[in-house]
Amino acid sequence: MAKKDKKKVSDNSCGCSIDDLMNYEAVSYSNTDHDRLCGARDSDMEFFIDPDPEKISQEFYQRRLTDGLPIIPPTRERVDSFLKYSQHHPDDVIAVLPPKMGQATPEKIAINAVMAGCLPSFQPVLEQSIKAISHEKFNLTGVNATTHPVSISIIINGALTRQLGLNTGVGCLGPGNIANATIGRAIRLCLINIAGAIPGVGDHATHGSPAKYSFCFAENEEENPWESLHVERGYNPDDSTVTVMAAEAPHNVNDHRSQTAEELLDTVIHTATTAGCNNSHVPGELLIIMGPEHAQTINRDGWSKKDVQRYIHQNSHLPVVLGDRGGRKLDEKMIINGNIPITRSPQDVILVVAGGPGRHTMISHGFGSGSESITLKINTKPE
Amino acid sequence: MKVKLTEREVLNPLGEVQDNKLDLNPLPYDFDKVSLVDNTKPGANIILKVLSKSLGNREFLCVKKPAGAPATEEQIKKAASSDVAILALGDCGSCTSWVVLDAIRMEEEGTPTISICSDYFAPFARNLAESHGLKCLRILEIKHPIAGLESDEVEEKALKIVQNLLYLLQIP
Amino acid sequence: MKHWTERIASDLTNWNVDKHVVASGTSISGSIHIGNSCDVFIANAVGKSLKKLGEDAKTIWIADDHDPLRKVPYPLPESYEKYLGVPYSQIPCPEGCCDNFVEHFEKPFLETLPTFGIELETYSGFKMYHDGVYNDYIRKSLERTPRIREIFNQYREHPLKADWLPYNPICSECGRVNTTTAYDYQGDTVFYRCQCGHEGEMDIKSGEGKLTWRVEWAARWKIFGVTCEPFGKDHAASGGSYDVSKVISHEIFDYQAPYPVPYEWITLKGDAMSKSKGVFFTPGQWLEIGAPETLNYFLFRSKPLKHKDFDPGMPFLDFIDQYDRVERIFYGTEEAASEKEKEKLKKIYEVSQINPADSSAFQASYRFLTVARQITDDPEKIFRILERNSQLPEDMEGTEYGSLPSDARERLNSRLVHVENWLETYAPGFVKFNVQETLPDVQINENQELFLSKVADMLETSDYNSQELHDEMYKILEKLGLKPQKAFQAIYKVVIGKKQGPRAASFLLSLDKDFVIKRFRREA
Repeated sequence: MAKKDKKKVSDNSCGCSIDDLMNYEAVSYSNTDHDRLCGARDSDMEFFIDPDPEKISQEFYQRRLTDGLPIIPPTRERVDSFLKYSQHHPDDVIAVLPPKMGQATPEKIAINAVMAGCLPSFQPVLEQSIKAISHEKFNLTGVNATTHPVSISIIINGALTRQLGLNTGVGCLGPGNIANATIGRAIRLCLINIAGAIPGVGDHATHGSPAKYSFCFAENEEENPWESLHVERGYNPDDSTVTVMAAEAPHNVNDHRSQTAEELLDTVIHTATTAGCNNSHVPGELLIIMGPEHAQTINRDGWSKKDVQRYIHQNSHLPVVLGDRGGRKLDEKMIINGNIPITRSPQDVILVVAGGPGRHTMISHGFGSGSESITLKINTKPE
Repeated sequence: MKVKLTEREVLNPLGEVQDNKLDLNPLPYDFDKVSLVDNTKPGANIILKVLSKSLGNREFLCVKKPAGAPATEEQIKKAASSDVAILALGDCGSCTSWVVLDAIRMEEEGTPTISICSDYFAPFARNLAESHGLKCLRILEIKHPIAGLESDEVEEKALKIVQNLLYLLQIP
Repeated sequence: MKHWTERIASDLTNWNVDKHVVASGTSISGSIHIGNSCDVFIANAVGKSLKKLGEDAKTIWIADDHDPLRKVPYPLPESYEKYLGVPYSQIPCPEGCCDNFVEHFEKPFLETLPTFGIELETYSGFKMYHDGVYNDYIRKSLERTPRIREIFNQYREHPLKADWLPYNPICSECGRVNTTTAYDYQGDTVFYRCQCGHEGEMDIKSGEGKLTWRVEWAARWKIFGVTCEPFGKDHAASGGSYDVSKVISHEIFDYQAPYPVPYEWITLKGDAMSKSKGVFFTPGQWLEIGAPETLNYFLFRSKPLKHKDFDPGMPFLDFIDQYDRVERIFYGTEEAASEKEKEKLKKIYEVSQINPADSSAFQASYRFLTVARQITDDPEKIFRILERNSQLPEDMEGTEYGSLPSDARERLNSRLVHVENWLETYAPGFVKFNVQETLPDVQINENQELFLSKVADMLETSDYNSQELHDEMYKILEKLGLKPQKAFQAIYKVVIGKKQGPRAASFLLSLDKDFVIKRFRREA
């Protein structure tokens, strides 16, 4: 499956034929170094060295092929090591990514993954993530082009979490873990280079966002009192999945005092139900990354995941006068008694448990009705 | 001994683009029915109103479509039932994308289109059209910004592009 | 589908007016040619369409004959330079045949208009000023000068002087109007200075002066109630005359500016028309070589802002062929390339007609007639030539010229006159030839002689149509091992004394058979 470098040196070094010797000009022994192995060749030995990362980073940066941080030079060798983990032929078109309509092949994905600093075993996750964001319902066209600072949140579930060493606990949203950091980064580089989402050219986010560097984590299934995201979505617990969601950078919900589920969820609700978020004028998905301690508190009260989702949906609304201020026109059908809900249904509440000790939860608004999250299974059997 | 050091090649991270070209429908010599496609962005309806007034005695069909997402099949078919369609407004990244992509869908149905985009996003609109095979998609530029302006300010900006529209449509 | 003149009329029906007035205007600075008479043709077509839609409409024409002479028009002598700056109405007729300069150039133009089916109410700027029609408008403009100056300045790089007035008297000393500057007024009297050194005063009621153009144009709109006006595209430039006059009309005279129809210039063989350089082509000249409907077609087949070029030479033949084709499509005797094209061409043809006819008129190919007419001027003989060359429609074959319906004969005859004029004035040299009455003194070789004699034999024994004759001649020359060029050269040499000529087969069929046979046998 891997391609090879073109051979530059003949296998029989200095098995020069008489013709070569006769044809080659240097066979006038007038000006030769006597310590040459063979005067008929321009070198006696050729060594291949890796290009300097700093130099290539600068070059790629000038060509607008990076996210601004240094990259690992994507040599043939490195890319091949990733392709060993791929389920597809290197030139298969997994997806065509807007706005540039570039073809995302395993090879191109691997090149960007090498640049991001990924490990070769991350290839299947990346391929499925790319496939997921190219799904029609995800609306990558809108997500890339918008002035809104939406980034791509990547959530991993299942056995793969342990296999790849993803961080589900303390610091899972960064920094510090190679899988969390580089998987998210690789997807962003794919968007820049394959989809053409270069700031100002194909990506028009007014401010951009720190979450556009990388926003990837895995669910803390051990400490999750309820079913995990992938099981909720119909997969087996042992399956590994990736869920992609168009989401803003996360915002903290700091609640050290609430004792009951209702009180705690009210804090979450009031944090989420703000003017100025996309959901306020085009209700859609809401990502809630609940800290394990918060999840415990709610579970202790006997609330199921569905109860939580229902409660949040029913109580997350704000006055229309604050809601209808966004770039898109509010659909009047969504207004109930002068209020606008920020989610369309309990299913819009994407509830995952992740994080370490501490009484915090993170919430992340989505892209409103402009995008739906997609979950895909990851097949990890290497070739 | 002479030793040669060769730096390993680095591969190209850029995705390849398939080169496909579609045919743009020519604008009609004369037309009776015009579709006014409004993506509900602030100012879009004002712009379409000003432009439609300048076209004289015609039959107008108003079609609404979403701003940040594709139009439904029904909306496309309705808009494509006229002799020519005018789409507004592309003044941000995602709505510009969807104005252009929906215009292309209407062209594929055989209806010539004119898309109104703010001058800031017009180059992006043209690149997007090109990467989808319709390099010459007709895009009329209006001065950015439109969002946040009063109705009469939007009207003034729209009046400034009436001449360009009439010239494009070869009216009279 | 509507033609664009009908589309304009349709849009005008939305306007809330009792009567539509479509205006056109021409500066009488020299010969009026097809470029600057576009106004009149367009205005007439729009007026007609309005009437067809049931609107009360009329078309008017205003002669700008009170404007100053800016360039001496061709072919007037240099001595006319002394009239530069003088209003056209005050300049004498260059040939002494008319009352003045204006009548001299207006008359030939106005005389052709009935032929084009154009009916206009005509007005003279000079007369309007002298009859006092503008008086109230002049008074109003003087009163509102500060605002008018402000409006003008919005569109100017360098602001007007503080004492500028929108009125220019004719200098009572030197007779010029573009050299005077009015700087003050009191009641109806305007005080002015002239570049010739004279200082004086002028009563606006005398008519010896005029409003500045952009104000005058706006005033005219209100005076006549103009609702639509075509004009050359230089007035249509952004910030140009129309834009300014529109504001003046609205603010000063409280009148809505008319529906504008700007049109692009017509060039003559690629050169801009210029009266001073003598580069122009008048409607009168057109009528010499083509039917009036064809000029209408030339102007209406494309939209007004599309640039048009006119070449009365060989391209004119292509043009008439195109017109004839459109006529055939209109009457259904030929198919168009598509349904859309058919609709469009039928509309254009319809709008170009002056007197609509019920059925297809007799079309004799203009191009073919350029050859036939050089052989003979007898219409009956020409009709026979057409027949021999399969140029007649099926239902006419076998008919005698004398028994043709009168409209067909008229059509043929008028086209013959056009062709004759075209041949005389615009045909390039290579198109013209003279059938030699007697055998010309030319050199041809044995093989060519043999070829001619074989063709003569062939013609003697049978009748052929042009395709058959062509094929037979080719057979003969191939058998003789003669190059086609040499063979046909021989024909032309002995018949017209030149090496080239019109297409051989149809040419020969157009000539008298006996004549050809004898000539080919070198007998006469």
